[in-house]
Amino acid sequence: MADITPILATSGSVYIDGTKIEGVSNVKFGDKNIMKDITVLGDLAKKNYPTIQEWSLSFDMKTLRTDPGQIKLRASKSAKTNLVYIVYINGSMYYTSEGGFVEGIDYNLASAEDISDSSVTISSYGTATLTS
Amino acid sequence: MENYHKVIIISLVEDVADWLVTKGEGTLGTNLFCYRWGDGYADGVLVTSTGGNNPERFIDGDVSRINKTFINILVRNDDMITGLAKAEEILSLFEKNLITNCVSNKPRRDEVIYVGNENTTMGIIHYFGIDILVQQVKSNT
Repeated sequence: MADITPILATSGSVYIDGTKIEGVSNVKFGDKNIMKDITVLGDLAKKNYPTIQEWSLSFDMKTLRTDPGQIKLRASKSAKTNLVYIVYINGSMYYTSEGGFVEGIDYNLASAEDISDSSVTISSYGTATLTS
Repeated sequence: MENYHKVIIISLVEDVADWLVTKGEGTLGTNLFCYRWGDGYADGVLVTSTGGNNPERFIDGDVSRINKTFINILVRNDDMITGLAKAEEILSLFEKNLITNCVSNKPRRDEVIYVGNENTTMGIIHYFGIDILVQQVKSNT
């Protein structure tokens, strides 16, 4: 087996408008093409073809009242501002979005034993460019 | 015999001991100790640690983590009822207060533990135990 160098998840990070969001976990970034079904009569198998691109971003975070990144995120939700999100896979591999809107912030206070979590969903606005 | 209350092995042990002093539970080095008992007082409190759980790490470029450290507190007294009352008082302190710079400091059990007794030169000493899980954000820098 060839040597491989996996990337530790902790070396990733999420930035909003140039400010890192602290206390983040469970990041899910989707870089995808919207597929169009171009199957025609006579085909023996389904044919999907890529059209425009789309990205998606969701993550959980410990609710931090004074973290500048989280403050910016919560303010962006209220003000409906289009901000640049950067998702670092590690220090040299990252996605830079053209823009995005906060779709939702769900606060989780499930148990008295828990520390407050928030689940965040970002909706894409334009492209996401990979640098690696 | 020298006291070890000035030795910093686990900073949280020191933090918790200092906090208990501010809550009036003893005087550091006299009747409140870190890691090992000092001499002279049948009535005393000991703060120590036996490790902890895995820290919680974040997707943050390896900048910070939440440490989850077990803090173990022993209360001793030559009177069983007085010792128990003191231990219950300390347990309640952790239940209802948050130590500065800590995320959480909840006891791991709802009651104090009776550890046992020991026949010493000061008479029979009773020991009660309290285990706390202290969570604290630590920077990796």
